[in-house]
Amino acid sequence: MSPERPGREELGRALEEMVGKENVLTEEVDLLPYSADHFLRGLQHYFPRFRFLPDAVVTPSSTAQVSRILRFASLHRIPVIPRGAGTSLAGQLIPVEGGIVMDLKKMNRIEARVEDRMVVAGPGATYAELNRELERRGYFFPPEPGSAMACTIGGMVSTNASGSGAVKYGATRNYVLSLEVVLAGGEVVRLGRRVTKSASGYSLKDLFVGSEGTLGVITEVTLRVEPYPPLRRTTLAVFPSLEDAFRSAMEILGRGITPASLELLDELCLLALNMSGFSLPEGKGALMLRSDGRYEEAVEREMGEMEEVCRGRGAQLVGVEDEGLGRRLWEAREKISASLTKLLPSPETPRLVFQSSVDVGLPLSRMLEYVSKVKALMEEKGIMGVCFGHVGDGNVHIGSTFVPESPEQVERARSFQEEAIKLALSLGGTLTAEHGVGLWKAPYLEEEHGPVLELMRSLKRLLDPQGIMNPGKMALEGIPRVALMERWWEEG
Amino acid sequence: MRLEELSTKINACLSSSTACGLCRTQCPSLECWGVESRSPRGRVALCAHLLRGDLRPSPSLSERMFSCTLCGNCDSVCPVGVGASRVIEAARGRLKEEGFLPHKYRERGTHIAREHNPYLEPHRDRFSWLPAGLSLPERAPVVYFVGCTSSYREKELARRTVELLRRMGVDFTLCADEWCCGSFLLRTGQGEVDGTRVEEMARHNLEEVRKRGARTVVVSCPGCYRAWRGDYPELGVEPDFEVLHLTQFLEREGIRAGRVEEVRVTYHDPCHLGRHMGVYEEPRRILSSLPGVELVEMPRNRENSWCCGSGGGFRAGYPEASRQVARRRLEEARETGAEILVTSCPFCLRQLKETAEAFGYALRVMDLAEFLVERCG
Repeated sequence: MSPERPGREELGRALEEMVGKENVLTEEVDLLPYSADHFLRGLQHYFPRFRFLPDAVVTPSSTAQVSRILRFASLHRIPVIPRGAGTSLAGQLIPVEGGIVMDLKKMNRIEARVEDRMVVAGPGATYAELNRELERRGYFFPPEPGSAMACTIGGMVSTNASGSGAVKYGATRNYVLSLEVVLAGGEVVRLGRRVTKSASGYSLKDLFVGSEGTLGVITEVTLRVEPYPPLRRTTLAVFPSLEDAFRSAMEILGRGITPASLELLDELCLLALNMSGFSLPEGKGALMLRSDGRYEEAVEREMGEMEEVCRGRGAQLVGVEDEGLGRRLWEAREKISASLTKLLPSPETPRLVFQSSVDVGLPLSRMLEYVSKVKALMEEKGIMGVCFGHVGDGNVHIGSTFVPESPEQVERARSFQEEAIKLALSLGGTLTAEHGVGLWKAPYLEEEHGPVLELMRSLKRLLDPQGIMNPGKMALEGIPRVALMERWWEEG
Repeated sequence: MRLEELSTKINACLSSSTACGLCRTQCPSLECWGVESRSPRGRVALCAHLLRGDLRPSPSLSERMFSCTLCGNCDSVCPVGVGASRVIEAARGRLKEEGFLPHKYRERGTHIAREHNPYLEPHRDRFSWLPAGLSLPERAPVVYFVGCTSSYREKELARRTVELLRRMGVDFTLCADEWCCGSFLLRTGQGEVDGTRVEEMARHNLEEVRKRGARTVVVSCPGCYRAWRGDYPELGVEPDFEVLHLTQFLEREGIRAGRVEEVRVTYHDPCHLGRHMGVYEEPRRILSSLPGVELVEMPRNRENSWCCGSGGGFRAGYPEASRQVARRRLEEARETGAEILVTSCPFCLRQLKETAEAFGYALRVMDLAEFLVERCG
């Protein structure tokens, strides 16, 4: 029989013995900011009963410390939630059963090994820091998520994060060569070798990519890196309709071009870009195109051909010759959700919540149908929202708004999001292309995976028999009540 | 500003599509402690709980709010324009009202109300640094507003500034009864101390300038500059004369350099002058115009310049952490290969100079006024 789960004070003392007093937090003021992530914070603000306080926060600085903590937690069946920068968008970090939040910020070592075309990093190293180190040496780690400035490498691996460059460069999974992982019982294992190719045995590292902290704690990551393309060109094409933008994107891909980025924006997104200080033409839809490479002629020709396609569908083109301006435009693109938050609330609806939560992936051939149906659904339900995404790899983001004081609006937003996800599944898509499952998409996992979800649960039980690793996520132990949005209003 | 007035901003930060954490990327206190409750986003979340009433004011909460330099770097990267530093400042005010102002700040606040400086020094010694025999007129077109830090802690800087103005032939004087500008009080949530309000201090200083008949006030301290140009008008005290930071005044009046030896310098942007008030280019233009001076930039400059670790009462409350922040800046300066780090703030000067000496950095730290006196000698 396992020893009883210790109380907060006792837990704090035990952790202090393991990692030192300065690395353990147990006061309410320190625990509260860890009670939510990017996903829940705003909702928690309106539904205050959803306060998921951890019992303690610990900030280890070595694999040995992580191992000691997990051994203890496993023995006492205390939940452990590994955490990076807290930028996750699906509720991956919420301590629904309390326990220990493990903030890995201090494990932020970066060792560039460009002679091997790889980099070794601690889970707490940020994507931005890592790429600063690499770019100085002429290399980069490409899968740039929207949270690139803040997110950590551990978080990226745990959610298989990606972003606007995935159409050409792929997602985080494509770069993970090897992981050091501490399993739930405290055992330290290395998964995969530090080589660029291996055909040796099961690729267990891939099991941990996208596992959202439910199987163990990633304590070191070895990533493949790419030479940094010295030439980058950006063009924004503004179209008379969203359909024209979409069809141009499909034609670009159909011609065999693989751009560095191919982003779809709707009318409201264009407005958000203009709010960030740009003066872009007005239109109903737009594509942001990026071409990169080593050779000017190749980059120019690729961009020229893409521009020709767009012009053929009546696009106004805004070429961005200056790389600094191009970078600012891409930064503004990554901040669209935040800009919309600034744009949408009005004096009449000061508490309008904007939730950019739908993140489905679709076969390219079904995307136009999907976007059209979602737009119609928005209209039918009277939802104000946006549609944008990484059209080059079939990833669509839908953001919607609601006034949290209105139970009717909360329910309308919830049912809209649910229908948008189910529609993607019915078209052969996946419920999440890059944000992950976490809490809020857990109710839909079975619909996507069917009996395979049970296989996932078996793997979870095998690797984490006490069920301590990030409980409540990915529907591995059923669906937590907090994930059922229809109950938020009455319980909040 | 009261915390309640910022609730829309707080909501915007915490709405589920933001709370993005960009502010975490440039935060000195997060760098020191590495935990969410000492990051801008964490502090804004705590303020939301405080406003909602499910978190009670406490010494611990107060401590988390005061362990911030108020450098404003979080504000400059925020895509929603939350202004976390304003939120934190307002939270300090609320905590003061609730009786949770840390003793160190209360003590200094009380001293300001009584002796018009936060350094626990007598008011009568304010101008003890003035060179003997120097006579300044009763009235003049320009007033040099010295500020508390130069008056009591960086006296050499005050002397050099006076020397520089005299060499330039500026017809200037001082306010005989200059009081603290009130910046320290406003930044630490003390809009009112022992019955004295910062507005009254502002009015007193305004009257002092008027008595001298000045059309221009020159301040060398960015804290004072923000008070005069930003805070006083917000408090309803509008100067009817121009207020310039020394760097702006020097650029306008023109500097003639004498020495031409080659030297490589880097410039550190004081938070209160740069991010808070938008003065970035004037000091750079002055430095670049000097013969023999090569100005090299640190990787983080202007809007995302790294704080020296001195602001917002941070140095007073957290001396060790503040040095850690300063060392980070000195490392950046060293990597540029500069021989001299120039700044234009007595707080930054003191903080960076002392840290450089304590940790053996082979880097001279100088205020622009000192540098110019040396170069123009």
